[in-house]
Amino acid sequence: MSFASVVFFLFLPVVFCLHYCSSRRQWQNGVLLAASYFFYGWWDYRFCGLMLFSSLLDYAIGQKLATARHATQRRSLLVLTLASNLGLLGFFKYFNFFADSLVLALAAVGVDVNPTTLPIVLPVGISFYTFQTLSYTLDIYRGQLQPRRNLVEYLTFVSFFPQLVAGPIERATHLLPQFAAARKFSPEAAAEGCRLILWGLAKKMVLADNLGGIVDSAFGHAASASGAALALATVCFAFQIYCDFSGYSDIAAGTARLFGIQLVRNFAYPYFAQSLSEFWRRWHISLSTWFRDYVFIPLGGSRDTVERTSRNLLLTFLLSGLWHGAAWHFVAWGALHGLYVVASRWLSRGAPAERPAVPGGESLLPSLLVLWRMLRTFVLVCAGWILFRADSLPTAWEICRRIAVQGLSLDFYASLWRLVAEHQIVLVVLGLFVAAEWLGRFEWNPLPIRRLPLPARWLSYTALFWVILYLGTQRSADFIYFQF
Amino acid sequence: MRTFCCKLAAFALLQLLMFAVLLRHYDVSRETNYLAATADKHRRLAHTPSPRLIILGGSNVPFGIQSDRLEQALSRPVVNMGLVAGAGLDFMLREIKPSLRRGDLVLLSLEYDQFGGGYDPNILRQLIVFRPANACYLQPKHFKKLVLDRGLITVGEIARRSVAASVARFTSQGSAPTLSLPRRGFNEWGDLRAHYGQPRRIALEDLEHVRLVPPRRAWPNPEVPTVLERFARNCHERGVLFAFTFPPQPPQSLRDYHDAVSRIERSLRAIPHLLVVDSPQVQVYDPALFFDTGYHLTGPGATLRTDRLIKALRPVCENGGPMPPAVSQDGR
Repeated sequence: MSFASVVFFLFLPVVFCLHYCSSRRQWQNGVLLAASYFFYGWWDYRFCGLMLFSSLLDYAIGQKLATARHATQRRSLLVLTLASNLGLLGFFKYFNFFADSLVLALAAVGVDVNPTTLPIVLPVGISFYTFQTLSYTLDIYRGQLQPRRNLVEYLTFVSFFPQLVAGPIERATHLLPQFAAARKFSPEAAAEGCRLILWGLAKKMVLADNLGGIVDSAFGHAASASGAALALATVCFAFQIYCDFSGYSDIAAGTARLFGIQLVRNFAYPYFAQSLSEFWRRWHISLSTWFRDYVFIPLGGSRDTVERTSRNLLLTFLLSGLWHGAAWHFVAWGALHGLYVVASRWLSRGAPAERPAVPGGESLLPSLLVLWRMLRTFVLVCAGWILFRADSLPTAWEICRRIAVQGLSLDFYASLWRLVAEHQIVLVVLGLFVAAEWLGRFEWNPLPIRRLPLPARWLSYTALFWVILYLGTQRSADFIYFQF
Repeated sequence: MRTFCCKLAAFALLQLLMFAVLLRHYDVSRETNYLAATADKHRRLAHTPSPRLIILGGSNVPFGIQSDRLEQALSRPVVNMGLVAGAGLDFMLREIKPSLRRGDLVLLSLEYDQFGGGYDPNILRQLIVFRPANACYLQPKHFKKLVLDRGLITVGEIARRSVAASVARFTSQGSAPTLSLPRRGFNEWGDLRAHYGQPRRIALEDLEHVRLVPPRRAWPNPEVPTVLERFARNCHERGVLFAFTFPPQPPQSLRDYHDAVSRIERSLRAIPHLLVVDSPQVQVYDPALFFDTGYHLTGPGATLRTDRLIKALRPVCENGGPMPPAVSQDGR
């Protein structure tokens, strides 16, 4: 079930009313569990079986881990959870990728093998809930969490519908305790939830979907598109994926708040970051911290030599790229960001790490230096987005080449201007959005509406609702991160 | 919580009210899209006195039938309701079912691929956008895809078109034609005439490539005769004659799909109360008489097809006539 559908807005009030029918925790968790499986099964009921299997397996392993006394037994259980979770993910997401890659690699050394590919359907959100269940057992193994006795509580944690298919990837230590207590209705939290849902829908439907049209027309015909069209499409893709994914996260967080659940923050104005390291502290925070805690730090983190730290960073980013998709261009995207971060660490050796609390500083207008740093970071991120969005590595290379070569001529800028004029409505809306984000970057989301008097608030909500309906329904597209 | 729920319900109600106002003032008269002709066809259906000849089907019907000549030859008013095959059989039948009256003659010409039983959700969505009342002809099977999953798109499109129509009213501009065969290409009976006299859009050799495309699902789908049987029974009970004529095709299609077409014909002839007025072979035309696909006849093709239909329908109207008045369940 998509957030941007009629059925979701029928489903949500029903679940909301049922949830608060009783103040008993078991009832509330039961309602959320049933609703979550219904929500997930709306795509394909068969996916529910896989999620249930994966959840039960980790539940059982978690119970065993708590009672296991010997280190070898605990390690065996750790291997079992890793093998089963990553095995499932590997089969559904990566089987064909690795099979094809193996065939190509063997062909390169003169060995011909008949390719074996399976018609595998990728279950929606498998990457997200697999990482969530995995974090549960890993935290138990590390002694940071006690296993849950209550199965319903645990199953609700894994399948909680607002964040089930595209995150934020929640940690058991953060989300599970919230299911362990009954939730009381808070009008302030519920109102804030509704605002977040509306804002998330606006980002997804008005911006992401309309920018997607510009992106698809250029990247879909990369062989014939001009350098200017590809450059504009790259910038548009940067905002498409941001608005799509952060819009989803806002709707998820808003929906969760209706049920008294607080999800972690997933985006913190990443395009106002002044360095690549800062970008990764602000982009898809729940995934970045997952990789930091369960891959980077276990590999040794930054405790050792610079070379080892660089290796750890590269490996972490490579895996992050592979997590995003079973294709080499995703791996290359991860590698590029790994190189960026390693290079920036080398270049800034000795200098104290800047961690601005407010992205872009606190002044109304950024200084020239800050603006230069933000632009530089944005351009580097956009170069990475070409790898991410292109169909293949050769296509990505050709797109970069065409933008770079044609960017040297004046025609490029004339053509770019024509394209901007052609898409002026959506680009003006994008400009307004960036301005709203800049002005509102001091808070979780740039919605100062709550401070306005009631009639002004209602007017704003109504205006936003009709803008969504008017501009946001010309194309219908699923959330991009569903495919991961 | 009660306050919150009341506020939320009031907000939702306000938006619904605004949409209702928008819908109330929604004017499709300036729409030039081919599918916007659904509004004109329904208007004619509502205002034409019985006994009528109501022609149903996909685009083969508006392209290939001259209703004015049929009207003259059969001495009964004709309403050409055919528009697009993608609407699907269920929708086409439900469109006319409430307005059928005793003595009417319904002539269906369903494209062969429609015997696969499918429909195009985008076409159905457009038909609702251009005539929101068409939503009441949707079936439960359409509901998930069209309303629950994609309903916001339909609502948004109505909002956009409504605003555009209001703006056009002040600037006296119509919406730009979205198809080269626009709504104004239909005559008052509902026949498409825009393509008459235009050069054919397909070369004879290419017609080989665009001829009948069998659907991927079971073909013919056993559900289709069941739907037709139910409708035929309903027509019979209401004193309406239900007839079927085969769609036009170039000879090659029938040679290639002889077995499937024979199965379709057999299944149709087995349906009680359905009068099959011709055969697939009768509706075979010279490839030079097709306009752009293997279903769309040119002007001369339409003339020839109308002649054949007059010949097939005249005895039905003169001798068979409409079915006797329906007898109610209690025998009165």
